[in-house]
Order: sequence, then C-alpha cells, then structure tokens
Amino acid sequence: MFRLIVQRVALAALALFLTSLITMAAVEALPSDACAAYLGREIQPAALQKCREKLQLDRPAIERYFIWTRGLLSGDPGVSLNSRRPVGEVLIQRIRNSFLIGGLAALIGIPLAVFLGVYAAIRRERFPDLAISILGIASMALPEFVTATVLVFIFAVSLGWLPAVALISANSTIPQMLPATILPVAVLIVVMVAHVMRVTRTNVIDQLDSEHAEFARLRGVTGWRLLVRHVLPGAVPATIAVCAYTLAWQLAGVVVVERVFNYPGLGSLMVDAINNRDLPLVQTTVLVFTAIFIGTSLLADIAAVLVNPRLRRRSS
Amino acid sequence: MNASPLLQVRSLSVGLRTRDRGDLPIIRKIDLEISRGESIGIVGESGSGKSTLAMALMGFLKPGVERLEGTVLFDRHDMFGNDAVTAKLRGGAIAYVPQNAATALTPTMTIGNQFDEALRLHSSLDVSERRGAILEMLADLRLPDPKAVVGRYPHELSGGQQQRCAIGLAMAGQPKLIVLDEPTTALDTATQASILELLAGLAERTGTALLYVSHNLGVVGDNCGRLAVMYAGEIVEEGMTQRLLSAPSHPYSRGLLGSIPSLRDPGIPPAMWGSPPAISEHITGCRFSDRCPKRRDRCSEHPMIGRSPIGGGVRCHFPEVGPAAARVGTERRPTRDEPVVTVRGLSFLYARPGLLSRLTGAGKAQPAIQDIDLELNAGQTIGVIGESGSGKSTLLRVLLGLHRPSSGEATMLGHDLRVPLARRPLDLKRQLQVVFQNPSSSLNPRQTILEIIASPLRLYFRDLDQDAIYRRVKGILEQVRLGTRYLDRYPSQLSGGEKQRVAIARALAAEPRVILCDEVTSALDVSVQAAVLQVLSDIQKEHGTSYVFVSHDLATVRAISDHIVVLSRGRIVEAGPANRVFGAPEHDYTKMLLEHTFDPADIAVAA
Amino acid sequence: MTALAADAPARRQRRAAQVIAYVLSRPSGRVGAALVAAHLLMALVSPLIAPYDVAAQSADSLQGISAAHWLGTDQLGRDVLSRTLVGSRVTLAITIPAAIIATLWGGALGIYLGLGSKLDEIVMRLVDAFIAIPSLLFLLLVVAVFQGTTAVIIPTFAFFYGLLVTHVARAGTRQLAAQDFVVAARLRGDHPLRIVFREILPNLADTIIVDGTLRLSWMIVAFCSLSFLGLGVQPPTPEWGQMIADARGYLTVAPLAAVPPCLAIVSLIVGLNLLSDAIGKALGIDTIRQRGA
Repeated sequence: MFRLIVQRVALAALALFLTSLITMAAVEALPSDACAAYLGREIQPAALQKCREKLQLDRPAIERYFIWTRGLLSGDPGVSLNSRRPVGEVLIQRIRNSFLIGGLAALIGIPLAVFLGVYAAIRRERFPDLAISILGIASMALPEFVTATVLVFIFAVSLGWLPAVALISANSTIPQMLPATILPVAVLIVVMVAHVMRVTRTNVIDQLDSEHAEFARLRGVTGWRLLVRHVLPGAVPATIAVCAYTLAWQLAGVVVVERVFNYPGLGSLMVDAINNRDLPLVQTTVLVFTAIFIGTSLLADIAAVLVNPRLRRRSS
Repeated sequence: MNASPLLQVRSLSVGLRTRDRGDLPIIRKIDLEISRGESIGIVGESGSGKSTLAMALMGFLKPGVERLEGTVLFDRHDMFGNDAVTAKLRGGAIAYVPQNAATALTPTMTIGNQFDEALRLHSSLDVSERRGAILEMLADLRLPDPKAVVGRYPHELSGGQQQRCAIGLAMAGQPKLIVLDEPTTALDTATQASILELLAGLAERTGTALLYVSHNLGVVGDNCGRLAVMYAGEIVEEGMTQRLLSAPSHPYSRGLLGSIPSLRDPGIPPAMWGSPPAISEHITGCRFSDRCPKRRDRCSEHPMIGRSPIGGGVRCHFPEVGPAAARVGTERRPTRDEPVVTVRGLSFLYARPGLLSRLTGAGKAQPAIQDIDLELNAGQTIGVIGESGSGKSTLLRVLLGLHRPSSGEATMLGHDLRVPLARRPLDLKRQLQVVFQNPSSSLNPRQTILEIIASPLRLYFRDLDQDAIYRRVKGILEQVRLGTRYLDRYPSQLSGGEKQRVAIARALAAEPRVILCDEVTSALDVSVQAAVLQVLSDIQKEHGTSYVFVSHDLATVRAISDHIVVLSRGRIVEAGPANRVFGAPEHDYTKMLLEHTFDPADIAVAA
Repeated sequence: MTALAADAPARRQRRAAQVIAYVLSRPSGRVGAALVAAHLLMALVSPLIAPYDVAAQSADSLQGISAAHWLGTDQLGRDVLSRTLVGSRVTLAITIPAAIIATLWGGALGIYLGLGSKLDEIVMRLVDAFIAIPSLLFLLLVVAVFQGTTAVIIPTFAFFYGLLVTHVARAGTRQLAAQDFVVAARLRGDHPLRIVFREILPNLADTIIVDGTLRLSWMIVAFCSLSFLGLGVQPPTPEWGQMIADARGYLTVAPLAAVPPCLAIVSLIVGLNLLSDAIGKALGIDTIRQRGA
C-alpha cells in the first residue's frame, strides 16, 4: 500500500513541475508583458525600460524562473506586478473565498448526491429512479455558465431575492460574504450532484446485482442489513473516486462561476492575472490551483485504497 | 422414509415472460420430492436449467425471471408465498452452497463477521456464545487456525478454504436441506475429494438432506442415493443411482453416460452431435428428438414421465436399456517411430517481473518446469496430465516460443524450439499450431467463421485466390463436422463445442505437423467433449498430425493419448505408454489422481 | 462465391444498420438522434436560411419578439435568431475536427502502448501527469496567448482530450491482447499491423465511438465556456457562449436574448449524451443474440 502512495505523491510532484514549466512558457509567449499592459499604449521607451528593470523583466526567462521557484520554496512567491502587493497576501484571501463556495458546495452536494444515487439504485427502473436519472442527465448537460445565468435570471432578476452581482470585496469577512455565496454554491452543486449521483447509482446497482449480494439473499439476509453490510461497502471505493474527481474538476467550474457572479475568488484572480500578463501572480495562482486539484485526487486515491480490503492487505 | 416429504416440487415452471414472444420457460413442469436425510443428485449440462432449479427451490429467482406455474413446498411452506417467512427459512432450515465461493462471499466482511451474521439470523445464541460457536464450526470444517481465520477476509483464503466457509455458513442455521450448486467445480482433484468427504460426514452426523446439482457424474455418483437427469429444462429420467448409472433407459442419459471417457475402457467415446434447444425455441414434441438416434413418428408428441424399465421414471415413448455403444478407436494406429518433436532436459524457471512491474504490483510469476524430456512421434499423441500449478501450460508456452527456456534442448523437424517466437521462421510457426481452453476468447468476436479460418490460409498460402480459399474453408469445416451454414455466422451465435471445433479448424488450416491442445475440452460439457475428441481423432487418422494433449482430466487424456507424461510441480513424476501408466501406475501422485477419477465402468461393475 | 471479398463491407453495413435500428427503437435514442441531427443540419444550412446577416447591427437593440426579429435582438441590434442558428458553426467547426484528431492520435498512442512497449511506464506517467492538470486552466492560458487565432484551439483541444483517449485505448488494448484470439494471431506469425487492424481495432472501435461522442460533448462545453469568458471566438462571429455572456449584462432589461443560445447548448449536449448512451447499449446488445439460454 505504501508503494502506491509513494507513487502517487511522486506523480503529483511531476505534475506540479510540468505545470510550472508550461505556465512559464505560456506567459512568456504572450505578445506583450506586464509593463506594457500596465503602462498602457502610449509610453516612452525609457519609462518602459525603467519599469522592466524594476520588475526584473529584463533578465532572461530561465533566470526568472529560478528566482521565482526559489522564492516560492522559501515562502515568498514575489510581488504581483499589477497591484504591487505581495502575491502571498493576495492569494490567501482569494483561496479562502474559493474554498468557502467550494466547501459549502461539497458539504451539501456530496451527501445529497450519494443519497439520491443510492435511492435511485434501490428503486431501479421505477418512478423515483427515472425522475432522478432524467434530472441528472439534464443537469450534467448544462454548462456552469448556463446554469448560472438561468439561476441569476430566476432568483435575481425575476424574484429579486438575491443580488445578481456580489457587492463584496476580497477582504470581506465570511459572514458578510455568505449571502453572495448562495447562487455560486447552487450552481456548483447542480453539476456536482449530477455526476456523483449517476456514478453512485451505477455502482450500487452493480453491487445489488453482484454474486455476493445474491448469496447473501440466499442466506436470508434482507433489508437494511443487506444494503448496509453487503451492498454499500462494495460501492464505496468507486464513489469516493468519483467524488474526488468531481471535486477536482469543479475547480474548473469555479473559474466560470466566479466570473459570472464577480465573486472574488481564486478563479477570477487567475483570469484577471492572465489578462494583465501579471507573471508572478499567474504562475503562483496556476500552481496553487493545480496543487489543490492534484492534492484532492491524491486524497481520493488514498481513501480508495484504505477502504478496499483487497488493496489494504495483500491476498494470499 | 417419511410419509410427508421434506421438499415437494409440483409442476414447477420458471422462466421469462416476454411481451412479444410469450412465456419462455427455463425449467418446465418439474416434479421432485426429497425426504429427510436423503441425498439426491440432479445431473445436467449447460442449458438444462439445473442452476435455475437449484435457486428456485430456495424460492429465489434471478431478476427478470418469473414463476410461470407450479409450487415448491418446503416443510409444507410455499417458498413463493410469504416473502418474509421464506427469507427466514433461507440460510436457516434450507441452505444453499454456491458454485464459486470466491465471488459469493462478501469481500468487504471478515469471515468471522459473516458467520456471526448467520448465527444472529438463524440461532438464538448470544454474543459470547456465538464467538465460541464460530470457532467450533471453523474447526469442524477443518480450517487451520480458526482464530486467525475469523479475522481474515475471503480473498485471503485459498479456494478450498473459501468453499469450506461457504459450507459452514450453510450449516450454521442447522438446516434440514442443503442445496449445492456445483460445489466442487472450481477446485482441484485432491481438494474436491476432501470437500465431498466433509459434506458426507456432516450430513451423516446431522441427518441433513443434501441436493447436489452438478454436471459431474463422479460427484453425484458417489454421494447420492437417487439421481435425476435434466435436459432442456425437463427431468428426463430419475431413479436409484446405481441402477440409473449402470442401465439408463432414456436416449439422452444413455448418450450422456456413453460419452464419458473411461479409464478401463479406453478409446474415443461416441459423441452426441447437435445441441440442446434454446429457451426461445417452441418445440411441441419431445425436446430431445432432433438429436435422438431412435426417433420415430410418435416422438412429435410430447412424452410424459412414465415408468422406466429399471424402476424409476423416464420421459420417453421408447425407453430402452441396452449395451453402451462401442468406443471408437480402441486400437491405436501403429505409429512410425519418426520423432517430430524432441525435448531433453528442458527447464524454465520463474520469470522475474521487471523492477517497475514489481513496484506496481503487476507481473505474476509463471510456474517453473524442470528437466522435461519428451519425444513426440508422427501421428502420435502425448497426453500431459497435471493439475493447476503443475506447469503444463508453461510447457506449452515454452514450446511455442513465448518464454525462453533457461536450459535444455528442444527441436522440431530440425528447427530449434529454444528460439523465441519473434525470430522463428514462418514455416515453423505453421507447423506448430495451438488450440486453447476457452472457446469464447479464442475466436475474434468481430469476424465470421469464414474469416477466422481464412486468416491462416491467407498467411501461409499466399498464392490462393478468393475462390480457392472459400473452397478450402468449406473442406476444413467438413472435417470438423460443421456445415457451410456456419460460414457467415459469428462466434457469439455458436455453442461452446462448435466454437472449439472452429478453433481446431483454424489450427488445421495451416496443415501443421503438430497441434498443441491446451485443456481444449475442459470448458465444455461432457457430451460435447466426446465430439471434440472424435474430431481430433479423425484428423489424426487422416493427416497423421501429432498432438500434445494437456489436461487435468485423466479419462479424457486416456481416450486420446498413446503416451502419458504426468507433471507435478513442474517435474515429470511418471511417463510411459498409456496402457502401462493407467494400468499399473508407479508413482503415488499418479495413483492418487487415478483414485479420484470417476469411471462409469466402475458403476456397471458394482451394480 | 466471392464470399470473402464482398463479405467485409456488407457485414459492416449489416452491423451498422443493426445499431441504427436499435438506437432508433428506444425513445431516448430517437430523441438524442433527432437533436443531434437537427443541430448538424442547422450548422450546415444556417447561413443560407438565416434571415439577417449575423454582423448586421441596427438601432433596435434589445427588442423582444417581433415580426421583424422572431427572437428579438441583442445589445447591438443584431438578430438573435440568425446568430443562434449560425452560432453552432464555429463551435462544431472547431470541436469536431479536434475530436477526430484527438481520437486518432490518442487511439494510436494508446494501442501502441497497450501492445507492450518499454516506453509504456514513462509515457503513461507523463500522460497521467498531464491529465492531472485541470484542462480548462491550460486551455485558458494557451488561448490567452494566441488570442485572435481560433485555429490554435484545435490542436490544443486535440492534445488534451487525446490524452483521455490514450487511457481508454490502452486499457482496452491490454485487455484484448490477453485474449486468446490475439495470442493466436501472434503465434501464427501475423504481421503486427495486421493484428492491430484486424484483431484489435474492430473490437476496440465500439468503446472509442461511445466514448468519443461523450468527449465531443465535453469539448463543446469547454469551448462555449471559453467563449463565455471572452477567450474563444472574437466578435462579430456569433457563438453561443459569447452570446450568453453578452446577454448576461442585460438580463434585467432583455432576458429573452439569453434564452435561445441557452436552449441551443442544452439541446445539443443532451442530444449527444442520449445518443452516446443509446449507441453504447446498442453495441453491447450485440453479444446477447446468442444460442441458448
């Protein structure tokens, strides 16, 4: 088992390394640079040169990469070219905000999805299952921005219950932010629930149809006992896997959602940074994003191994 | 015998209810009675419906399957009546032992917990009493170190141990009847014997009735007082075991028994050609009549169960007891002493998986073979006998060039067989063909039979045009007794025996000198095995092909082999002419294997 | 007589016909097929039937349903109906080629690795590492870099989604290569390419087709998302994601402008999902037509 974990961690490190390289390469390839973007079009070459020197943009790319990496590893990822504030400071708040909506979505969405999946599996082919399945397919088909737009329309524009755009800043306290989180969380939940529910349903059905469930029934095991002791445990590893996969994939959705609602999170920070050619910010943001993504997958893999007795102990 | 039987089945039909094709019964109007303490056997091949019957006796049907008519009364309770009562009886008074314990035991629960659950449901012991009872049960099942087993998961036990646990779970509720569905199929010979012994002992001690459902006449022959033979969903004959096995009166029973190869009476047993009807076929007359050698006009009328000449019941208009059909090819064709394959001191040690593979947990080690000597002459068959892990398949793989031997020599017709596959000349590949065990995976599901057999023709005989290929394929199919209507069928439309014959045809198309047969009959029903053996024998007579015939089934090997090699743990423990090895075995291992082989000739002698 | 020569194409036709028949026999299959067909048709003929030029602005901005503009106008006075009809062209023009290229290169790599190669470990680790990176992220980056040239999106999409195909193809090939009929072909001495095309591909094709349809739907969602964020197509080319982004700002005033593109996206994605489900069942169904019970 340890072998597997070590493998995964090594893989994660490789992925992060690749990420940093690609990010660097991509931003380097951008036609203009931070100074040009910041100072605007009509600038004198002297001012541009001075800006570049100050921000170390005149050094070769490889050198800048090492400066940045060194800084990162020692806890100082540089300064945002755009806002002149330390990257770390900016990041922490944004991460907190994104985790807020992501976390709420997960806390509500996953239990809901698992419950719906198990219920649909038990009532296979009957009305509850059909209803749940159709809703599932429909919500999977909706891109986040469509769902977001629809929800904004219903709740903000028509009913006026909630604000369409979050009038908060990155620094607001959590209680201040909560009302603004409702719609983003709702959108995230819709997609998450659809995926997790569908996979859970398939897994539970597989278990219900399995030989060991059949044998259990032939031994007189019925009802709750059958479900809880013989059916569900087998469905757990795959469900955990899909939960983690969905959570991780949600990060991509978060970018869109934050954009739609102007929510000050990590995703919108990243998009802005790209548009501003703010290299240190882009690099670090992307790296953090990816690290969270990979970390979640890693936790899922480990959880799946722990839960599966076959992988936990070696078979004879 | 008690007046009221323990289990009473009346006119039970179970099957699929479709909208457009009506009712499709899997089992039809079954009548059956079991008394307390009895042991009875239900014999049938694939498609007979025996497994469905076994489950139906528990009041259990697979999803989609319904009870079409009839009743099952266990201890006067209708098993299809009150669900709650039935569920209480299952695992308690009436218990089931599955075919494959490895997949039937719940993988996420420990053995101890599964036993504890059984006791909780079916006994009134409290927690501490249960703990003690579990250890006692595990000891009775002769499992080593019961305390450790309690905490283990099913996948941590061996096949035999898993099966014992399954039996133990069945006994936990102190049942009056245990239904066993192929209880020993997945096990090797020695383990089979000990499991059957265990069962017999337990049954005798507790007075439990046993119902064995099996295709293996050896299993039921030794352990059951009464037998019923099933074909195409019906019981076609029943009676006392001794009498039925020595003098069956239904043409199918006779054919079935006749097709079992015998150790004492060597030679290819006569085959029953054709196959059982599909459940979707509506047949108004006797369901066996299209394959029956004695068919007459009256057989278009469906026969009921009548009294058989030997005192049991039989479903036939013209039941007849008679001598078994003679075995074919009892005299071996004299073979020239012309060696085709020579092997001396061939060894292949464990393949150590590469570093990365071991890190990732992939790469199983192959069993080793050591010091193998073989000499295969033209037109001859060497039978290689061995159980799983003996290295018999490894030997074939080395001969085929899939593994590189670590020492020794092997040559075929002047070619060095130590050369790996990739470097062998095409002609050598042509001369040495192979047929595999599993008919389903040895044919490409996306190709027609025509294409499958044409592939080697196109590869080896490049100057043949389309028409010539077509004609040859037809000819080859004839040699395996398949008609032209098979040409544009897909493998999924063929039965197991037919697929295996296509695999043989494909090997034959290359016009090889040697065909390696790797457990080619093991995945087939008994009556179908005889057909395959017949085809192989015909080909050998016609073309002088040599075979290396690998199997764990002694009687089958006996039927077709001239020379025998017995493998155990990678080494040859005994070798010699077939008559000598089977008539006067020298090694203990050979003797043990022979002891546990069922021989229909034995029953005839005993009766 | 010429059974062999005529056999292969005729057989393929029979099978394709069987699959189509099965798909159309189920309600979900019919709906899916209808939706997808409608969208394909729309993409092909829309420039001919669209009432207005998609770039034509007018003074009547944000009008609702009217006789002149059946679905109203957007904030620049452009006709919503025309823009919706034409909107799928860019999306499909980018995602369909990308899907095909992804399948080809991912499939080829997957099959090659699946047949056993010393590079297997290293390449798969790299593939896994790339898959671990959230794709939208890099699509964003790459697209931001090459802003204005939608053509670069095709190779980018093809690269990332091809990685997923590699996984599927490799797993499938490994499983197939262990089957006796493939071993038999190797033992016979068949040329490796022949083995790939006659033994492996026909059996792998099913999985890849079903998977491919789903993958196409993901790509479409991703592309629309990119356009929504302003990074996909450039105006005045109409695209659904971008139209929704535009309409978002005016929801209070003219909500209708957002509805047609939303419906269009949803109907296409749902159609693709239903179709892929139905095809998957159809291909799986094939093996059930066997003898006996």
